[in-house]
Amino acid sequence: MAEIHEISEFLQKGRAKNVKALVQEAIDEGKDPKEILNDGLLAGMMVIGEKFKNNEVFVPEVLVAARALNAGLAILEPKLIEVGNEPVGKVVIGTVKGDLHDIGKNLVAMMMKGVGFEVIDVGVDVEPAAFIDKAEETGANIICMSALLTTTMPSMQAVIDELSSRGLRDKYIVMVGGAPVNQSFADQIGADYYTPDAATAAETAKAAVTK
Amino acid sequence: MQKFEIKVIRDNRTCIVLAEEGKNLLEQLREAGIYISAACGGKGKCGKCKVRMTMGATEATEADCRFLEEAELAAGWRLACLSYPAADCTLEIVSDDESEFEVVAEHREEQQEHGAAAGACAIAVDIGTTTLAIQLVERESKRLLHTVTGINHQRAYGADVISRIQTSNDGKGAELTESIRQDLLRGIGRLLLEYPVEPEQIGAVAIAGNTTMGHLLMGYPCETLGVYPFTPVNIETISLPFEDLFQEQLTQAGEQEICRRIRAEVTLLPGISTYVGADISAGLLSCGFDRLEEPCILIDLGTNGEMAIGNKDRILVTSTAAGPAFEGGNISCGMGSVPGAICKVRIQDNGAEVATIGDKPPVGLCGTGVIETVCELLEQELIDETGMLEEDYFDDGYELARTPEGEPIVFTQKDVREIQLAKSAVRAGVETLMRRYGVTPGEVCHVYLAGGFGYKIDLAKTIAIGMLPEEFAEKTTAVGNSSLGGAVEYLAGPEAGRRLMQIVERSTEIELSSDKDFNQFYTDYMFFE
Repeated sequence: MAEIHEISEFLQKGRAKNVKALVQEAIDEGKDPKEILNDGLLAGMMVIGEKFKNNEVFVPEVLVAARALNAGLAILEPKLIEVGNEPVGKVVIGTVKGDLHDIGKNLVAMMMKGVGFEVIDVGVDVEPAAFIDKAEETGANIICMSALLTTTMPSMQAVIDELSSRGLRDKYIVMVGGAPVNQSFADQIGADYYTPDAATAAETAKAAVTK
Repeated sequence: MQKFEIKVIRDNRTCIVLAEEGKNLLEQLREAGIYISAACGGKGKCGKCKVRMTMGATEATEADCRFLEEAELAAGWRLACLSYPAADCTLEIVSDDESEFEVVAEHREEQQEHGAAAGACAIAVDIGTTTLAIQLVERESKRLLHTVTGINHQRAYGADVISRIQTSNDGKGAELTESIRQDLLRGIGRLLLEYPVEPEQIGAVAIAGNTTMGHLLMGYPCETLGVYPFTPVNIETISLPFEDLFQEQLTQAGEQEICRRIRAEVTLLPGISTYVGADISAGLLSCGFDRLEEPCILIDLGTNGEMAIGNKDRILVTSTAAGPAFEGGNISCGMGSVPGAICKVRIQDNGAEVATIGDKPPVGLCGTGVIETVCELLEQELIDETGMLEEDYFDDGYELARTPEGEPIVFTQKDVREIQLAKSAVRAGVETLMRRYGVTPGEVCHVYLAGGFGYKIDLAKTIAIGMLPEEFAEKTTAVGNSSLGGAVEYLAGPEAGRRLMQIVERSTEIELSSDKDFNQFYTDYMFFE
């Protein structure tokens, strides 16, 4: 019999194959897909996220855990749709125009998935309008931007300005992050949240949409 | 916001800085273009930025008391980085001795320093982001006559090229241009005053440096350097008369006055791209890449770890954001290569033994000390293969030594993480270059490590932490300042210029930050295995 907590443990170890097999087994046994998601996959990601925040594990561990999460989600998602499970929210995430850095943004995207968001990754070197168009198209609640260069940070401002000029500023929660970004910059450009690491970003996002 | 005036007296000259509340003196001075040394980057750790507040002195902080004697405190001495004035004040700055900064000027060219100049002379210059090296050479023989080194005073505007670009974009480009031209003229002036050569004998000046340094020297705008697709304004060979480049600065008095007699052509060597500049093309020339049959690798271990692989027919270049950890940046007790920085570490059961630059009492850790520490902690199994510190040290870090004031110098879990990122960026860059070039580490013929850090670091340790592949152990040479070496080589004659052009023309850049292989390697090599 598939034990849900085992899914969480295998996920923390990054054992994608085991996670996949156990999720399948749990589905076949008729377990509630929501329980498999929340107490198995997401519970495991939450442990990893917490450890990452405390420096107990590092980028590679998070990436392998995320790979296991994706493997599990791939087979669980159709079932979740069948039972009408709603994600906690939708996030459009990308690295701003002029900046090609991928890894930090990917970490945040995985952590967001790990707390139950549907994540729409628009990639790197993203035009301000593209963030907003995608958010409008998908019905997202959050726009999340990353910049790794001091010189590309102004593009975050451009996204917020464009939101304002389209009259959409209040419709979205805007989050910013990346090595050169800090709280005072976030305040200055009028972003809703700055978070220093990927795990905190996911927690903050979840708190923001559920409050 | 409340504005007030800071009166600054330096070397009998006075200027007024219009200041804002909420910023420390170091920031205020920097913004006003007044340089003071701050080795630790303004963290109150090095005590270098002391100034004397003769009027309106701020209250002494704990750190002030640590670095300064009571009498000094009473006389108004304070650390600029911890002093937050809120009203008018006056301060005096004593010009400090920058010679303490270790600058590597050694390179592969023949270096015999004896005898007077017989033939025509020339000057080779390397403009580094942190330091400058200027050499007087006898032209055709490449015989070294004299060297001066100094600090790049643009440091007061930020440590790395991105912060310089940002400063330039913020409307301070002209200040940065003035700063580097002044530094160069003063350096060349010193060179001429210290060595018996007539300025008229200088036939040429060749300058190598990264693309940002070149742009700032020429006074080009830097807007396009900081955003994708990172287009430079001009990275071709640039030649102009000495007196034109330094027109404004030559009218000023000082040690540069002797430079007014120089009638030479200045040449900025050509670069390959925005992030692989003339310092690297010069390095490739210095290492003779245009004559290689078998592929070799050149790696400049710095904040922007530039690297190249290739031979006479084809060269691939790239740069990887290793960050400032190799220069002691972003490390909790990190600092530059200045006296008192821990540079050697040995850890045994009963604790750590350290050696410092200049055998001074320990005050922090420089880049080589950081690598040595990680290496020793791994050796003693105090760090596991994932980079996790032993439980006992997880919270407060591993204590390496204490400062004379009894403050512990520690290496923390976060510091280990910084090194994992930095070493993995270098390794992933090297692995990606080799894959794109189609060679294995075993097929690489030779590896040249350029730059001050590469010159000082123990190669075995870079391999022990996985920064370079094991196969490189027997075939790696530290070449020192190969940028300066390339500038010297260039001065030898027109043939060297043609060789350099060939190197630039046959070089192709690959962009790493969105490269799938690079990102995979970057994750793979983050562990210590």
